[in-house]
Amino acid sequence: MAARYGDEMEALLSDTGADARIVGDLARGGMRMQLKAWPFPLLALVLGVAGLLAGAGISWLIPNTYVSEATLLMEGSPSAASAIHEMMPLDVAAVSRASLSRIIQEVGLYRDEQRVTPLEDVIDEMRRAIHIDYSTARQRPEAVAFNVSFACKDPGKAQETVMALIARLQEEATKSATRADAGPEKATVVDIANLPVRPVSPTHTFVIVVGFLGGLVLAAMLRLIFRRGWIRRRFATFAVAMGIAGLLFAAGADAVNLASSRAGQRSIFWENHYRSTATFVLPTIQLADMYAIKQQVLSRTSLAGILQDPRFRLYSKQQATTPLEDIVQLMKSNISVITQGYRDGTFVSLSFEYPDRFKVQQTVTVLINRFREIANRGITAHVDSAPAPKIEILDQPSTPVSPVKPNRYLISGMGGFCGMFLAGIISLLRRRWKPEPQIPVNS
Amino acid sequence: MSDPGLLVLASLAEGDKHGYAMMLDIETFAGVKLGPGTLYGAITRLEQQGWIRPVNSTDRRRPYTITPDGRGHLQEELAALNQVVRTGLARLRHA
Repeated sequence: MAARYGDEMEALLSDTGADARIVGDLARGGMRMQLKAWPFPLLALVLGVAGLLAGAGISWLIPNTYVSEATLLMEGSPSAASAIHEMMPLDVAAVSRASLSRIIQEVGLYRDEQRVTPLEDVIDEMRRAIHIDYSTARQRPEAVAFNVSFACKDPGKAQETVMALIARLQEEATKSATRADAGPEKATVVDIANLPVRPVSPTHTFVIVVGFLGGLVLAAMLRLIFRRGWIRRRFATFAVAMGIAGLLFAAGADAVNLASSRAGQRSIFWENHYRSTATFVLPTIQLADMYAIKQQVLSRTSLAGILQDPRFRLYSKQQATTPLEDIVQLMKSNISVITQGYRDGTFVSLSFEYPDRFKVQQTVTVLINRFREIANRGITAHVDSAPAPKIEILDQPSTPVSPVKPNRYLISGMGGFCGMFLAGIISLLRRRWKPEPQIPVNS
Repeated sequence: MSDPGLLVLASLAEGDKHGYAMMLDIETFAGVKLGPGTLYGAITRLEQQGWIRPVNSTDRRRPYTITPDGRGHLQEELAALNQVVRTGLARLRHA
């Protein structure tokens, strides 16, 4: 085609001049002609290579992730199953908020993220990067081996973090022996009730999506009202603009709502719901006894006492119009209690959702105290005299050499495959267009 | 109406023209600005269909002429469009 039309195009460009619009039009026209003219193998090759290069480019933009891994042995349990059972609470304590925030400060992790994200979110991100996987060691079947790994952009920090996690596990193993020997229960708080920063509902993403869709709906309504004019003629552009305006408005309203909520004021636009969670252990209360304790803590009398406490004034608006019974049920439905047996004790994770982030934290603290009071009232358990679990390091934390992510070959290969797939689609679509005879090139 | 092929045929129905002249003519009678890529895409398709052909010229600005098949095709297309225009206008008058 260049041989056929080259001189004419050159003459035309010298007449019209070349600006961005014309260059764009030329590129589009040329691409369309090539896609129609090239045979499938050439199209597949060109788009495959283009996809491969695009995939390679994208993969280089993704930062490397390194994983450090250590293997530990846990001894001192009568069976592998009980060793795994004993390990779980140590695992929970090692990845608790208090433990991880200490590690973050000690190792200097997530410095950039901490500037823009609350510590709660950084801790959640860190938890997702930690893996503690269990297996048994063939040479010593009575022991449980487990791998502790952490993924990080810095290989040195990945290794340091694994060392810190091992140290926490060993600390918790020692503490668990101390708790068992200490006699009757002292509830130990592993994670205090947090003061939530972000609401659990509605989420930021939900607000943004609703804002965008609201903008589109408003655009459709305006189109129905204004039957003439540019709204009709340029509806697609108008709808997208309204969607973006709705998205920006929703994002702004969400920010204002959050700011007023953090300042202790009422939310302006909609009610945000916050969740506070605490984790604590009752070392001498067995799992079987927890049901009765939980029932007492969440009983109508107990929750009504909290509701009517003048310090909290929970559900104050509803209390004026709704029977107390219904409000108690509402409060109960927003409380979550998860229990897990551990040696002769029980780990408890308690969370509560409420529109006020300060009151939600206070309520969780009160509920923890209720658990303590009821547990202390007369339910006792015998203290286990089994020895504390011993953790031995089988493999020291590795120093990562090559990144585990991103897999650049895979991403590039997928880009190439997508390019060839696109060539196949274009080739199929081309057959539906009118068949066009080839132009003979003039000599 | 913004189909580039139809606009090029309509422009050439008046007489032979090269690319730039077609662009200016189309902009005048239809108010549509065709870019060089779009114009030559249309010229390629029309030439392949046998509805236009190039005229021999020594100048780089090669003129094109509409063929009898091209005139026939243009007539059919405009007749169909005319039917739509007349029906639409009549309905608007009676609405």
